[in-house]
Amino acid sequence: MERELVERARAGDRDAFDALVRTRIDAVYRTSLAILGADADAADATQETFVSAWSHRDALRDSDPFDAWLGRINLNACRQQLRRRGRKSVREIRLADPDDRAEPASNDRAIDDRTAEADAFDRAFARLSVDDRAVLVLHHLQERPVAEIAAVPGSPEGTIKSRLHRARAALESALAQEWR
Amino acid sequence: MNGQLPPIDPDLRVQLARRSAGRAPATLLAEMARALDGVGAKEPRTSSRPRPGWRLPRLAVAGVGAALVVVLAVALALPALRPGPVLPAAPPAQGALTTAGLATLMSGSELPANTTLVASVTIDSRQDVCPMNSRVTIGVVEGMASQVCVMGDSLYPYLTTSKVKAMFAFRYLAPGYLGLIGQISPASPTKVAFGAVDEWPQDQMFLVEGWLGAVETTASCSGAPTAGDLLNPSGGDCPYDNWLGTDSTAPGIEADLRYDPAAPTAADDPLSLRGNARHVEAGGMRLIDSIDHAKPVHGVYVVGSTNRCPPVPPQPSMHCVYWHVLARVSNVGFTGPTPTPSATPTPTSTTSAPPATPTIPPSSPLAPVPAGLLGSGNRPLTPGELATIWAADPNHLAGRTAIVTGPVPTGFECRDASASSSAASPACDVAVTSGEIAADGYWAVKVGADGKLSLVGAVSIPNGSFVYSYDGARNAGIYRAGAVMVDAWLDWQPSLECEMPPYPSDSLCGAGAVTSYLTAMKLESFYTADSAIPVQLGAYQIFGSEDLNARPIHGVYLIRWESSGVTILARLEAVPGA
Repeated sequence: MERELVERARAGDRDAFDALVRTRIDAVYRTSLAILGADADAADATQETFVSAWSHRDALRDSDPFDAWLGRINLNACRQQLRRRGRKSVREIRLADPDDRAEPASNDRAIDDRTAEADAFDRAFARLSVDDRAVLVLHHLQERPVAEIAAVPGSPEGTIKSRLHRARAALESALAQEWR
Repeated sequence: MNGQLPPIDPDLRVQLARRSAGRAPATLLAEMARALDGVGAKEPRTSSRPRPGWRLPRLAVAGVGAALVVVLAVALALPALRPGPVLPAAPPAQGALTTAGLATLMSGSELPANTTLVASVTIDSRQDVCPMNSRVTIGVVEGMASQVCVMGDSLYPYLTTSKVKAMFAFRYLAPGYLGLIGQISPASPTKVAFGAVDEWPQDQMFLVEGWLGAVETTASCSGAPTAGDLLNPSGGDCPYDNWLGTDSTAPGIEADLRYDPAAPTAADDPLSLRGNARHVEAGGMRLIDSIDHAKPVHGVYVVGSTNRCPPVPPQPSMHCVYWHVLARVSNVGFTGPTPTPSATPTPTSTTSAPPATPTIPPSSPLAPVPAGLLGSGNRPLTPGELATIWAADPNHLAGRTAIVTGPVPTGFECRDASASSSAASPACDVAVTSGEIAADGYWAVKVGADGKLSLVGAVSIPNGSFVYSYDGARNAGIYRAGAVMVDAWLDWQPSLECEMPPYPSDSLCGAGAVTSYLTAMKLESFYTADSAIPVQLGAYQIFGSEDLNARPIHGVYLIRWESSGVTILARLEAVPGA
């Protein structure tokens, strides 16, 4: 069924493509949000991803896993979004959602600590390249197999493994700097 | 490094989950549907839709048919445009560079920046090589003597299969680097370029031979046109109305100046032919290729269609889709030996000329990046030493940069190392392309596979030595010294966001990948402009996919200050025995 949808979309069937969009829009948005850290950027990158995928559907080959192909476009859309944002000074502040918390916000100091920790993490994460952010998200959050992760940037698995180690080390260094 | 995947880090997972919490905004799906409606090119349910337009025309063009990078050598099958040098035959698209022709071109003298080439080649999709701070790696061209990287402007994954063979238009970025403009659809199996009055294909990128002219209008302009990206130039050219036609005049276009917007007719479709010419957008391309509006210019142009209207709401194409001129194919020639597909094998001997087709079998691994050459003790080679090395193994030298002490005589004569010292080997004669090398001084020269020794630049040296230390180079103001040799460490790390301090330089922001630095030693987890010199790797590649962690790399680097910053031209190694 899924493969049939992809085939129909590739042939230009918008209804089929819309069906693929509906089942993936939240996942693509969340990945974009984890990488970019701002709702507006994530929404733009998500839209850019699907519009670009539709525009270039002819380039999808029979042997290409659709999700890996879409993931690669999403990664490029995130890169593009960061480049655009790099020219702007506006930064979006995400407010903590009380519902996100595992425990009641009864202790103001604990909340402050968590907020500071999250803020430091976001600043450190923003120091990483998009590719490093992506592999960390795909591995540590989405727990994708290495072969799937490698298919997104189109890199050899060995490269992904080394990039994961390197990205983790870079994040730790950035976090250490944030807490100095 | 090929160890196991690191275990899932629960703390990291919590933070990432926090960052990604939520769902796509409720309005996003509807907005996206409208955007997709504006893009649709082939929906079967929109058969009554007017002429399709592209939201991302250039990228789409580049992607359609799958991505490949074809370097189309510009000397199209148009003898009048291509006097002089003979380009190799390039079936099936006559005029496009072949793999062998491109290899010869790329291993020869450095081309002028932004030169537009058209070639039929195979691109091997690789994202793990060719790091460049400002562009995305698409892949490498197969069959080159040394690595030739294909770079894109950023968004689209051009290559969706591992290898794509096709005809492409490229901009020459630097030695070893090509920027992909897009895939070219030839006019026919035997003809590369369309004529100006031919039926031009939509949703494709193609070549047109004709006259590019412009008519100045009375339109009120909000600002001067900008070039846009080199690989995707901007279109607008207010107050000019550009045209591409068969002659140096375009009366049909002139007549359009009398256009009455209150009474549009079918002929108002901007895609249609106006007598002997069509309206085109060429603003950015004119700036990039230095083509002013004073008089029409004949040439072969890279053309695609573009959609100037926003993707939403859907609207007909009239006045939205325009022909977009992306580049003028350069009249590039190369004077090296022309590959001759002779049935008679060329005899191989130590006295043979450098190979005319410096290709490697497609199945071979990428050639290791050649290091530049120095004499022992980090001193420049003498002309005699260079001649001896050349004679011993011309292939080994092809494409490398060598530091040599001037004067290097023109008509430079090689000697076969195995022959007697007095026996000159005429086959090793090398043409020196710059008279400057014949002067005293220290010169960085590029050894071409075409038998040319071209000048990279003069090399400044410190007092009492040939090579600067890292600190010595900084103290000496290398930013004003031109090319220098520096004993330093090369390191790299993830690129920083522009909005996050420190700022190495604006040109290094964005794009992802890594930022490279020269430094006295590996100092700290994040370099700053105070602790290291940010560098562009330029044509110099030091690592393959598995070497990214093998850092830093110590060596003697030839670097040069350019407008875009400091570029590494080569890592230099001493020649044993020299």
